[in-house]
Amino acid sequence: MSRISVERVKMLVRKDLLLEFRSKAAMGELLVYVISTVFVCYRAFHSISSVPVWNALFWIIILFSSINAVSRSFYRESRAKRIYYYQIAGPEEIILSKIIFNFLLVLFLCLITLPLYSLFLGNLADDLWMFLLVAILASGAFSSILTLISAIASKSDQGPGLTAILTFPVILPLLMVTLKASKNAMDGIDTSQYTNLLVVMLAFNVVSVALSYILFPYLWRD
Amino acid sequence: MLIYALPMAWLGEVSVQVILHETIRNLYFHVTMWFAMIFLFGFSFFHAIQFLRKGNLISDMKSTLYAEVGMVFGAVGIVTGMIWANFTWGAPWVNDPKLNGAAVALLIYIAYFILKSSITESIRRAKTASVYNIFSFVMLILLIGIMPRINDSLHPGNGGNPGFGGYALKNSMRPVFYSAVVGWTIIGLWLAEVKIKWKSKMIE
Repeated sequence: MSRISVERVKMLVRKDLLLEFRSKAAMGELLVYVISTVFVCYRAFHSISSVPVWNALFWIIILFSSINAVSRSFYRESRAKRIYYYQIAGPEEIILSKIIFNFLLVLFLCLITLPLYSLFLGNLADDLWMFLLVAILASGAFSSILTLISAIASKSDQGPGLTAILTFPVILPLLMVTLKASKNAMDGIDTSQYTNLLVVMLAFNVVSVALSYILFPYLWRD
Repeated sequence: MLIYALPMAWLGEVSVQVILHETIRNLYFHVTMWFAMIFLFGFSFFHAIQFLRKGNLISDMKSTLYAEVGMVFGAVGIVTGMIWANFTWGAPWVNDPKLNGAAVALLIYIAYFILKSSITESIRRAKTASVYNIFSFVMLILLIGIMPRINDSLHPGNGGNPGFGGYALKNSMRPVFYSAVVGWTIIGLWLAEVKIKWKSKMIE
């Protein structure tokens, strides 16, 4: 097993980022997906004055758009290209680079959804910085769970649709913690009151990255 | 063990409490079902790791069958729990972290079987399913370990509710309870064992 080289991981992340931003289709698909979802919510609700509803809707949008964004991550490349990457880098490097890339992607999704969503539906977040911190932790955990599961789904004969089914039960606990933490942030409750929630979210990050790191080498080669 | 536990569950001396009344007897079924389910899923998890380490397809088959039997126990556990909840809390389903945890556990293993059925090539199926099994079991443990500490639960022993261990459980119930746990687990293992033997015969 080859040693992990930070250089190679960086290079792989750069490669993914370049591919993503260069292709108008990929970027446009994400943006339009988010914008149209927010707009549909706006047409359906007009404006939301209740904090729990605002919060729940926001995270549901993030959940679905990140499933949509991440589930492609192992499909975009052709088989031949994939074999090429596998020859120049170890499986650990590939999964780490994919997780980092997807983390940036999901975080980006959060960051464009938040202003849009606030613009259309009103901003109810009291403690914006804490809300952002929760968003960062959540995107870390979302992306690492989703990356491994989309790798699993890419091995099946069903196509990326399977990612969603496999993800929901695994991600549900994380989603509940996230909802709770972000609701506290929105209510402007003092941070010391819910540090334990943040620690749990951090634990989800650590555990899911560690598991992907251990398990992915078994998946990558047919 | 069950030969001892079952008659005791129906007839044995129980601590009759307000609200619970005789439904406390359900303790022998509902609670023990969950213990057995977790043990079975644990076995399934263990065999999934074994498969990834050694690459023996028998381990994968065992892992699947343990998960199947675990599912049956989980389903029975949820039904008995709903009956019990209907008596004590007034509704078969309440918003409670343990119930959500149970639902998540069953959903995970349903997804696991969907994944298994979606791949036709056997080695790849075994590998992929094992990876999902390990990943989701760890997440499940994380969930079971953490959730009840964050949200209050209506279950005994959580959120200021006294546990059964405190005063509700009469000492005469204790041996019956433990032997029921062991008994159901052994029944589960035996069922899985029978299925494994049968499957192995089919392959031969």
